[in-house]
Amino acid sequence: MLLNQNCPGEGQDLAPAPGPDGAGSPRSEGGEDWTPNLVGFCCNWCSYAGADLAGINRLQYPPNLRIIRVLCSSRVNPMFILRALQKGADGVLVAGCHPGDCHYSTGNYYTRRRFHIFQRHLEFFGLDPARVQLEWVSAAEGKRFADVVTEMTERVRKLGPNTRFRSNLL
Amino acid sequence: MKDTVQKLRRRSEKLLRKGEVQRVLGWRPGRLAWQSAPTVAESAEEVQRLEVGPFSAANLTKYLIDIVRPEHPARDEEPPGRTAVWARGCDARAINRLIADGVLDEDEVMVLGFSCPGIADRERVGEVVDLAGASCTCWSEDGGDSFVVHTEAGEKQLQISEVVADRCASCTHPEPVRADEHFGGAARTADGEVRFFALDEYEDMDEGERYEFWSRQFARCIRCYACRNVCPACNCTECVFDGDLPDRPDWLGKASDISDNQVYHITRAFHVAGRCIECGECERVCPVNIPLRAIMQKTAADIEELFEPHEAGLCPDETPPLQAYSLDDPEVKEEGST
Repeated sequence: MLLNQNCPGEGQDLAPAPGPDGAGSPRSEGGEDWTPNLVGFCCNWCSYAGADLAGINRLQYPPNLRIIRVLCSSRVNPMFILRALQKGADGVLVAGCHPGDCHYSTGNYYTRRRFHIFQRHLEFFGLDPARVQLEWVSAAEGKRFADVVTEMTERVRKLGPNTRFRSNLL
Repeated sequence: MKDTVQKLRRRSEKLLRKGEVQRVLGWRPGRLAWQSAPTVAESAEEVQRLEVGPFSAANLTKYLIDIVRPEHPARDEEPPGRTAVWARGCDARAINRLIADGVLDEDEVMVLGFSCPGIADRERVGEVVDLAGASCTCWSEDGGDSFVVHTEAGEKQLQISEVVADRCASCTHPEPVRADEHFGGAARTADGEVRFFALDEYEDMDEGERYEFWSRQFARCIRCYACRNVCPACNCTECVFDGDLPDRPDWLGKASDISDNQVYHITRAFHVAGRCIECGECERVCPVNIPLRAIMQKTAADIEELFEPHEAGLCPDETPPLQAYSLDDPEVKEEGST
């Protein structure tokens, strides 16, 4: 309920992600202190709870990931990922339960197949596949969640700002 | 091929006279020598117009949807009855696609199949004959896949195999995979080895070059949606790209923006991934010559490599690979798949 109260209904450009010191960094520059905008789609039953656990345990990880909760990783329509890239994300993470642990038994198996093909599509059209990732994080793996976000932030930071598939009409 | 066309006409006539089918779907000669138009014959007399020529390129199956889908405005009050379709390998696979997707019932369609010699490529024929001055093209008397182009300067006999379109050169099923009756024809020798030859030129490109290449292609796109409208795998009643649907998010901007063109093409490719029957119609109808077939070939090659050998449309009750899974599917690697 609260999540949607202020949603204007249209996708908005992501504001610059704060740097490690909390200050915003200009997103067009790939300089030393540039940090990426990441969007994460986390499944409600494992990965979102994993993120929660990371928070409860006060684990430190980069604040660059904006999490969107979905009921299952197989809920993630490829158009979500494309829309994120269009509107200014430098990387997109899709996170779900480990294979075999899906709350709905089989959702993440479908995700695995679809995501594989989709990632290869993006690669064929010229996007670095490291910008679009699929990870399995269980509800007990707060540490793993923090590691995944840290690694992905670092990897995308090295790649620099993403200009590919970005909309010019923002 | 000439006698095959005769046999098809005779049989179609008989079916219509007996009332076993209500209409026959085929091609007729176009206005120009290198054209061939899809057409519906509803009486025995109209069947005489039907033909299969060296340029009969269109896949007919999309018209079946207009005929059988009850809510479609093109359909009138009468129940549609049964439709006979002249079908090659790709048409037959497309019919299987529609049946598998629940768009068509098996008893609504009667497949009059023939083996396909391939379709002549207009540009390749144009290199050896002046097609602009040609009055007609027809199959030659000596059978097989040879045809004659009649021009003011005289006649020129050609073999289809010399001037065949790329999509037919990579065809693996020139024989109709589904046919209620079969009428001979001249099957092109299928060579499974060359199925993915359209991908060769992309192999040496690096990521940046591929992005440049596809951005150039998609920048030309006028979003006429011809590739969607012609595709037998794109058979949804409501399409995600038609943003004027009530209660639906507008996924795609209507302004002319390369980013939206890219998103359209990536999404279209993903929506038909694993269900594409590789007929290459998308590429043929593209008014700005975007090499769309390569995208679908790439997807098919990926599915073969990652999951299982698969060719869509070979049987009417198949499960498309992206609507299935296996416990042994490979994990997506962090750094990408290649």
